[in-house]
Amino acid sequence: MRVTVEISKVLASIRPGLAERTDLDIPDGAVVSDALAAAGLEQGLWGIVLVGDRVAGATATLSPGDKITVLPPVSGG
Amino acid sequence: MHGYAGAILRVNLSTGAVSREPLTEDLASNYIGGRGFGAHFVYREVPAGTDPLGPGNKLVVAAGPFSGVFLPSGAKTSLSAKSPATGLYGDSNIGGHLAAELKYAGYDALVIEGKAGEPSYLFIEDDRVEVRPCAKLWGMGSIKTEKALKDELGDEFQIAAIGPAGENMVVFASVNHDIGRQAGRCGMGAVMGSKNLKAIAVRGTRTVHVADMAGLRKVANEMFAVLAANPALKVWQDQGLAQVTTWSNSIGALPTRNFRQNFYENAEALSGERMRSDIHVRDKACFACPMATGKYCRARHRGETVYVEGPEYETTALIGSNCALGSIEEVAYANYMCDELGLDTISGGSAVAFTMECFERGIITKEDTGGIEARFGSLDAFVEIVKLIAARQGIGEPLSRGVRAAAEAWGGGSEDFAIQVKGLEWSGYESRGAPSMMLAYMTCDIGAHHNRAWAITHDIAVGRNIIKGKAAKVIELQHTRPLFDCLGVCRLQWVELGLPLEYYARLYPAVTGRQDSWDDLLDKSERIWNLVRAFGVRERADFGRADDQPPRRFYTEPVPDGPLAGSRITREDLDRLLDEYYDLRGWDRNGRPTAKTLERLGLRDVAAELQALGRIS
Repeated sequence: MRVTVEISKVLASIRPGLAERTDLDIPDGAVVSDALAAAGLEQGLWGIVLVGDRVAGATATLSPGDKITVLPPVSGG
Repeated sequence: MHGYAGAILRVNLSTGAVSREPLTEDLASNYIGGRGFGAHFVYREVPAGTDPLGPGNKLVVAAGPFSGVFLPSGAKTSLSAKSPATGLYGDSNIGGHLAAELKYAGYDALVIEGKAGEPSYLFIEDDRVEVRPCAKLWGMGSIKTEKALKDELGDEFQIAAIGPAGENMVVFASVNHDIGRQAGRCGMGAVMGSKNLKAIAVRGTRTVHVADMAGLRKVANEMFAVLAANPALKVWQDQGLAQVTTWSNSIGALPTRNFRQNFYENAEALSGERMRSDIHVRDKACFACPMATGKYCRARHRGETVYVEGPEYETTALIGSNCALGSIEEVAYANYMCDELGLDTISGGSAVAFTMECFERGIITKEDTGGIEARFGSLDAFVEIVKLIAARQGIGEPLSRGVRAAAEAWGGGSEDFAIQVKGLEWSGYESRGAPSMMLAYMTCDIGAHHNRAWAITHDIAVGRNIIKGKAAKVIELQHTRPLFDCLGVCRLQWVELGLPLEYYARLYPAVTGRQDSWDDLLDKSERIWNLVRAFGVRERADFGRADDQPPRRFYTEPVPDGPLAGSRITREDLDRLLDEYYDLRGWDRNGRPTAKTLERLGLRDVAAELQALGRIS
C-alpha cells in the first residue's frame, strides 16, 4: 500500500537530506514505526506522530492512502 | 522607536534615585533586547571583580521587541546579572506576562543597582516608580508573596518575587512570576535578595507601536492559524513539557540517581500521561500563547494538599528520576516546596541528588545531615534537605553554594560526580551518548544548561558515536535559540510545533521597521555570545578551556544500564570536540575569542580592553 510521510521543517533541518514529503510503498498491515523507518527516521528522531489529523502511536496500523505527519522530538524548551 | 517602549528605567536601591534613559538606536539595533540588553549592561557596567552578591552587581530585567506584541507568545522576560553561582555573566528567562506589562508601563528594561537599606519591593505603575519597604513580606514564600502583592495592588499588577532562598542568597535561588513560573537559573533570586529586593510589581496602561500593523497582523494571524490547525497542539495543551520524560528515557538521556544512570526503570510513573491523569487540575498559558503548556497540578503529602504549576520536564528529570522519586505526585510536591522556598528545581534537584549519592557512599553520614536518612527515593529527605538549603543551615550551607562548592567541602572523591559546568548544575539531559549535547553543555555560556543548544536529535540523526562535525551544529543552535530570548518570544512554537523560522524573520521588520534579515539577526546573536564569553575572559586571568569541562563521571564511568549500557565518551573525544568548536568560533585553543574575531563582530573596544589586559591575542 502507498502512504505519505511528511516531516516538519525543524525535523528536516535535524537530518539534512531528508525529504519533507515522501511517498512510500509499504506492506499491508504495516504500522507507523515501519513507515517511519522506511522514510529514514529511526526511533528517537520523532516526537508526536499524526495519521491524518489524529495523534497516533508507533504501533498504530496504517491504511492505504494515510498521510503520516512527523514532528520532531520535544526539546524541553 | 517601533517595537520598543523606548526607555530604560534605572533604579538605584542604595540612594533611591530613579532615572529614565532613552533606548538608543545603537542598543536596540545591535543587541535587539532581552538577553542582548542584559549582556550589554552587565558587560559595560559590572567591572571585573565585582561581588555578585554585593551592591555593585546589577540586575537587568529586559523585554524584547516581540514582547507584549500581537504574535504567538511574545512573553519572555530575561533577567541578567553577574551570577553568584558561576562568578560569570548569567541570565535566566521567564514566561508569563511580566515582559508585556513592563513595555506597557513604558520600559524595555530595568537596570537595578545598589542595595536597599531595608527589605523593599519595586513598585512601577507607568511613570510612578517607588521603592517601597516591605518588612512584612520578608520570610514569606515566593508564591505567597506574589499573591499578597496582588491582593494589595490588584490583579492587573504583574509580580516577580523571591522566596526565603533568595533572601538568604542561595546561589541557585529563583525568581517566581505568574504563580509558579520561575527564572530559575544562575541565581537571579540571590541577586535580588542581596539587594534587599523582595519583589518587582509592574502595571502599565500604554501601548507598543509597531512599524507595520497590517503586516504584523497578516504574519501573526498566519502563525496562529498554522498552530491552531496542527493536531499536535492538543497534545501540548494536554501534557505540556512533561511529555518529554518518556522520550528522554527511551533514548538514554533521562538523568537518574545523580546522573549515574540515564534510564529510569520507573519513568512511566513520572510521565506526562500520569501528570494529566493523576494530578492535573487546569491548564495555564503565557501572554498570547496558544500552547498553554503550564499545567496547574495538585499534590498531597502527609496530609497536606498543595497546588503548583508543573512539574514540567526539567523538574521531573532533576527532582524525579535524578532523586529516584516514585510518582509524579511526589515530584509535584517537591516542585511546590522548591517554588515556595524560591529554589531552582534544576539546581535544587541536582543538589539533593548529589547529597543522596554522598550519603549512600558514606561520604556524609546522619551526623552530617542532622539525622536525615538521605537516600534515593525519599521525598521526606528531599523536603528536609531543600528546607536546609533555603535556610543555609547544616548541610544546607555548603549545598546553598552549589554542588561544586559542596564537593569541595565534603571531598571523598565527590568532585567527580558533582554534576555541573562553570558552577551551574547540569539540566535534564544526560549526554554520555550524545557528543553534540555534551559539547552544548560544556560550552553553554552560563554553565550547564540545555536551552542554548538542544542537540540530542543531531546526535541521533548523524550518529551517536561520531565526534567530527558536531561542533558546527552546536554553534548554529547557540546562535539561533538564544535569539528568541533577545526577541522576547518563546521558541516552543518553533522547536516543538515546527513553526518555520521564516515567520519570525517576517515579524521582525513588521514590528521594528528594521530591514535585518534572519542572518543579520543571527550575526547579532553571535556578537552577544562572544560578548558574554569576553566577560569571563575579562573576569579571570585563568578563564578558558578549563571552564568548559564536564564532570569526571561522564568520561570515566560507562553508562551502567538502559539502552546505552556500556557507552561513555572519552577524554580525547572531549578535547576533539572543544578543538573543533574553538576553531570554528575563531577562538584560540584555550577558548578565548581572538581580537580578530571580536573585531569582526563589531566588538573592537572589547578586543582592545582584553588585549590591554593581556588576555587575548
